[in-house]
Amino acid sequence: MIEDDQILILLQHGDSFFPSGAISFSWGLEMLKNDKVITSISGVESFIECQLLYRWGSFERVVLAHCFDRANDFETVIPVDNLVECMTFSSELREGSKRLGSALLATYSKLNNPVAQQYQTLIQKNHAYGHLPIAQGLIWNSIGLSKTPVLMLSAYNFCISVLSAALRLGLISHIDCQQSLIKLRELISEILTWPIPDVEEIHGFTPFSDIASMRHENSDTRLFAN
Amino acid sequence: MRTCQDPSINSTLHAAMNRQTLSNGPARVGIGGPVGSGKTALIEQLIPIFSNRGNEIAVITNDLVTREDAKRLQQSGLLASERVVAVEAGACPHTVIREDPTLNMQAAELLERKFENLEVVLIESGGDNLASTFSLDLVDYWMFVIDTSEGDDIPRKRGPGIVQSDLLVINKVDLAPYVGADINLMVKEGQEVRDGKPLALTNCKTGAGIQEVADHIINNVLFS
Repeated sequence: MIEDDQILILLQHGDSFFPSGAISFSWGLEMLKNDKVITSISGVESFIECQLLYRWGSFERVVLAHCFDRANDFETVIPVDNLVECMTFSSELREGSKRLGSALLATYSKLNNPVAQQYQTLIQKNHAYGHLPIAQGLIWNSIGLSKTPVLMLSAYNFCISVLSAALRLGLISHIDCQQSLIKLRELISEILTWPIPDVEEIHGFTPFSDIASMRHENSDTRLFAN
Repeated sequence: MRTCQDPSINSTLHAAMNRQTLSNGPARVGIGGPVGSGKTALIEQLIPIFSNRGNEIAVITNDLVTREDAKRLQQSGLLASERVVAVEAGACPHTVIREDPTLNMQAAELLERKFENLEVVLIESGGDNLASTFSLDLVDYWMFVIDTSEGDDIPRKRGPGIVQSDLLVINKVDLAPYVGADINLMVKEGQEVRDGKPLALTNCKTGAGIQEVADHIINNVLFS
């Protein structure tokens, strides 16, 4: 059960009004649309389901949970940040994760959050990367959220980021987006029941989006950064 | 915040306060306006003026679909290509300069760290409608570029870009007679809806009026 005092914080961070930078990223969807691999709402939903099952659930979720639990121990967090850097093969996906992580840290740094300011300094000195699940774990811990809502928030934000990109790419309608979010609740809830493995066990297998984002690097026609 | 009656003084004060409180680094100048109004051409004309003054400059573009504007500036020879950075707008050019300017701020900060003597960062918005405005967390000063061929009724349509910008630039003045646009009417109605804030007439193909635009930037955010 989520405590009342956390609900407003969750609403703030789950709202597209929050300046996350996510609006510029499609996570491979743009290229899959341009290649006509994904052409409909069912394709968009399958894309998100695969990302949740075979990447977010087994990778970002684990990293986020791990960093959330160790948010006061940068010496433990930084090697995980390095691991995310090494295990994200596509350049655009890797850069996207870093840019969004840095954006979250920058916003909170300007809000005078000391954790954000300290980790941002480490990034500027090239001691850390600031990948998104790392930044989320550090910041969301520091503002008083508990772990389960944080994992929900991360999954939800990923889903609305892709659905919003799909809307702007003309793949789905605004009602489709809401329908998809309703459907995805069950899958997110199921993934949240999975045990959190050791961080060395993080893995992902999303070849379609990985290859699409690699091809996107050389695409001249691009609305999105990945 | 206390305000004074002269809108041009307010604009200067606002820019000065922004410079003092938000950015101790280079001045950030936003250039917005509809597609094809001449934003990139204006930048191409402004770069030599700042270079000749000895001001170090960099540019951020927010191309809508391609990297056309960034490539054009990189290939122009006016500026080293590493001083031009493209930020993808995710189909929402107004959003990345107003509601969520984080990636543009990130790009500006990267340029500031890379070029420590940087004095001016020009941030060109992707083409948008008359409603686009810049976040004052992103820029110290911003201008909105329209052109005569869009119709001489544009100023009186009072879009936020027209009304709120620090400087309104009416470009392609040479085309006015060919498209039936009354420049005097545009100026008169522009002044009316902008409550006295400045506007400039330009022809970015010939350079006419560009020095005046540069002077506004110099006087409002460079101060020397």
